Amino acid sequence: MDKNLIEEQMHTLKDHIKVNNDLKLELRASFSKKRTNKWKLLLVPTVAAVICLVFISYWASPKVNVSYVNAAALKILNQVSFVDIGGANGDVAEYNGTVYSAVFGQGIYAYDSDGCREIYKGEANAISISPDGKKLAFSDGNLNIFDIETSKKNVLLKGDDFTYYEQPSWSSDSKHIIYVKKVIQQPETHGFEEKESSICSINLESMDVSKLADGNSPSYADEKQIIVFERDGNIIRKNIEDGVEKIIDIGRFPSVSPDGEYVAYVKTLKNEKIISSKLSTEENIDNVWIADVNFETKKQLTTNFVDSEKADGDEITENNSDLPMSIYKTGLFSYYNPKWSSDSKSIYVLKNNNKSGNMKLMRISFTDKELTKKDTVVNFIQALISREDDYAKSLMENPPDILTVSNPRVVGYKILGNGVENGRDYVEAEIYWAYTAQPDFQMLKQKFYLSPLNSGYIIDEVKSGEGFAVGLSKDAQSVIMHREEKEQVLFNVKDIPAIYLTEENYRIASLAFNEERSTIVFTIQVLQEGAQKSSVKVFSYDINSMEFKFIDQVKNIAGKENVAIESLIIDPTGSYAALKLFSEDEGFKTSVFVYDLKNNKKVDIGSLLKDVDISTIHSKFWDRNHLVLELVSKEQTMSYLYNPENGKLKTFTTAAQPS
Amino acid sequence: MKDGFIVLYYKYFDDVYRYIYFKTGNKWEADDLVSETFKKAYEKHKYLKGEPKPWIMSIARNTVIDFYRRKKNFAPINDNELDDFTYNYPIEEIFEKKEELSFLKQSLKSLNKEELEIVNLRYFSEMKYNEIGKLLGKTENAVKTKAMRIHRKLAEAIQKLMEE
Repeated sequence: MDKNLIEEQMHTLKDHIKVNNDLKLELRASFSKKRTNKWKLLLVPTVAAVICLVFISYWASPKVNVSYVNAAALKILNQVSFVDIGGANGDVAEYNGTVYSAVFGQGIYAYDSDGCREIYKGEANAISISPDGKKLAFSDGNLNIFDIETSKKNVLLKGDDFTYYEQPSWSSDSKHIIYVKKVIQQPETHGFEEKESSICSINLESMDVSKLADGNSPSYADEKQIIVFERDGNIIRKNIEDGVEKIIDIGRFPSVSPDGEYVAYVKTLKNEKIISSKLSTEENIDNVWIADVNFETKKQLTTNFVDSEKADGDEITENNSDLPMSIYKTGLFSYYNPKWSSDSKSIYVLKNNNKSGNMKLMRISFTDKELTKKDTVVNFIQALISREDDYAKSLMENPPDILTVSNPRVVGYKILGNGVENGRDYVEAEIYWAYTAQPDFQMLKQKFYLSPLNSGYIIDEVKSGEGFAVGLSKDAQSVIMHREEKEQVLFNVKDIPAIYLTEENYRIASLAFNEERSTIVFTIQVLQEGAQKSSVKVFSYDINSMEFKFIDQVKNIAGKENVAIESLIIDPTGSYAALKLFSEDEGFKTSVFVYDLKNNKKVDIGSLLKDVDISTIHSKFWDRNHLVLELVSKEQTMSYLYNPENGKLKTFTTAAQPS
Repeated sequence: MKDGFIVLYYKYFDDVYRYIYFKTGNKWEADDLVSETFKKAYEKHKYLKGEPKPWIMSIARNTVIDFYRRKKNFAPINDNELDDFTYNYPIEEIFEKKEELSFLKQSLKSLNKEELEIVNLRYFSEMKYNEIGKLLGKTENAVKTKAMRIHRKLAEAIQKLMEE
């Protein structure tokens, strides 16, 4: 029995273990009595009055290419998640394309085109990079400075059982660090109470400390005169000189851009519905926002939504108990700790998928250029493939509840062009699909109709056109193509020249078709039997000349034998093929090979990342002529782009510019 | 920064329930132990700093171990020995009486307790390999290797059942 089938069936088997739903409701109600009181305390109305200050213009520093526009006029170039840090929470900082992430309970990692490195092992719950990119301030109860070059840690302020130093952030002249000092006390019963949450600054030369305000998540906005922080769910701007505090918006985790212009934060929209006297629902939807530090404008960046699939399953429509019940719903995503890139052109934010529990690091990039129709469609397709549903939905007019399915999955696309049909603008693309671990390839032409919106475009309809599917016949003896309800045999397995296939037991494992070149690239899985080890043979077949070409036989990867293939995907031009392979031997090694089909060359992608301990590597899809890869190292999953033309790997910290 | 307790409760109730039920094989004991797990989680939630899922699953696992320690009234013994008292029932009886997947259900009998624990955490509690590793004090790769062995064992057991 196939291992993938077992894996799939085991997940199904879960549903055969019955959950006691009565207990679920009863037990929930036992907590709700206490919680109701607590909610009342939490729901003290906090009307956020947005008061405008006199407009002070800050000029963008010369190194920043995005000319200054107010927050509302900033256009989103793209939103893409590229590091998966599992279920852990943490913090992030960026300098010149290198992303630093602190993962709770693990350490600090650096991610760039050399791979992912652990630069500090130990507790680290908040980090901030110095303006020159040489030092990290981080907190673990103490306030520390870590020298990236020498790996030397210096404790600035030492906490104890009742005093914690947290959330450091540098001043733009590197002379001060602003941070939070938390003092807790332990009541006689249990738990702890927060006695103090002060925002303080430390002078790194004199080590003098001064208190600036009460609150959380502080950062400097203008040298050391203006600070922005959060208190009681409000984002506050304070002028240190005159002590005047003004509320910018409601929200949490404010972070000021290095150029001092914008503040990024997470805002939760509450929506309460009363169903009956004893039952109500409360939706709390997080989104990432930016505002001008000078209060001029603000803008919502993400489009989060209630996970309807989950809500339906858990829907409680009546409450038969005596206690009032409030059902709490969150969006599909929660966002934490947005932080700016050193060039103020991107925000990095932790994005938790509340259904899968996966925490990803997402980058939101800005541009002051117009996104074309083609850019919009490319971003949309990328978001669909990467399951950035919150971003994909933001590009759609009236988006449906469920956007994507996981199998078959999109493995590539090609933009064919654009045009106008009955007065409507459209962009046409070919989308390629494949089933994982099955010889099945499909192409579908799609037209994306767009309307202008807010100096950009929104997709209002997608229509599917012609397409084809290439796969195995029922008896698995032929490769066939289905097109316009017609079936055509492309070749028979027995046609493959015998010199290439001397083994007894094998099967066609995966395939892909490029129409322009009339070429099928396929793999044969040689099966393990007796002394015969499993291996993978790679071929191409030209359907016009009816010629087979033997490309390679992979007998071992990373020093392990018994190699099997999981997927084969080719780029839209048919010039390159990416194979994801694994060894079934002890140790479970994986490799991705990219074949240059014209020049008969191959590259083992893992070998490009020197000194990186890769536990698994996976080829996801062809983003036009770049291969998107995902690899797991040090328990973190991160994405890379491979350009087969120059043989280089690229991180997702350098975004493409609009075309 | 972290989710409220009720969100955590709705998110993980089913996983915790299935984990404990499959481990003990007894609905009544499962009901009690699940309640105990969430009561502890409610008390301790404010201290939660890291990942919620491994955290709540570790409370569930320790609650079951403590339960056997109490129930058996042992002289102090280690957790591994207490693990011997889990999965001590006809495994296939835990599932709802449906015809489908019957070979797979029966094949689970071919697994030892450690393997059943991995199956339970991986498939019935939907945990990731690195989370399971942390919970069981093993590396992610060690868990993956064991999972591969489990797949192989199950496949062989199913093959045998089909041939019978």
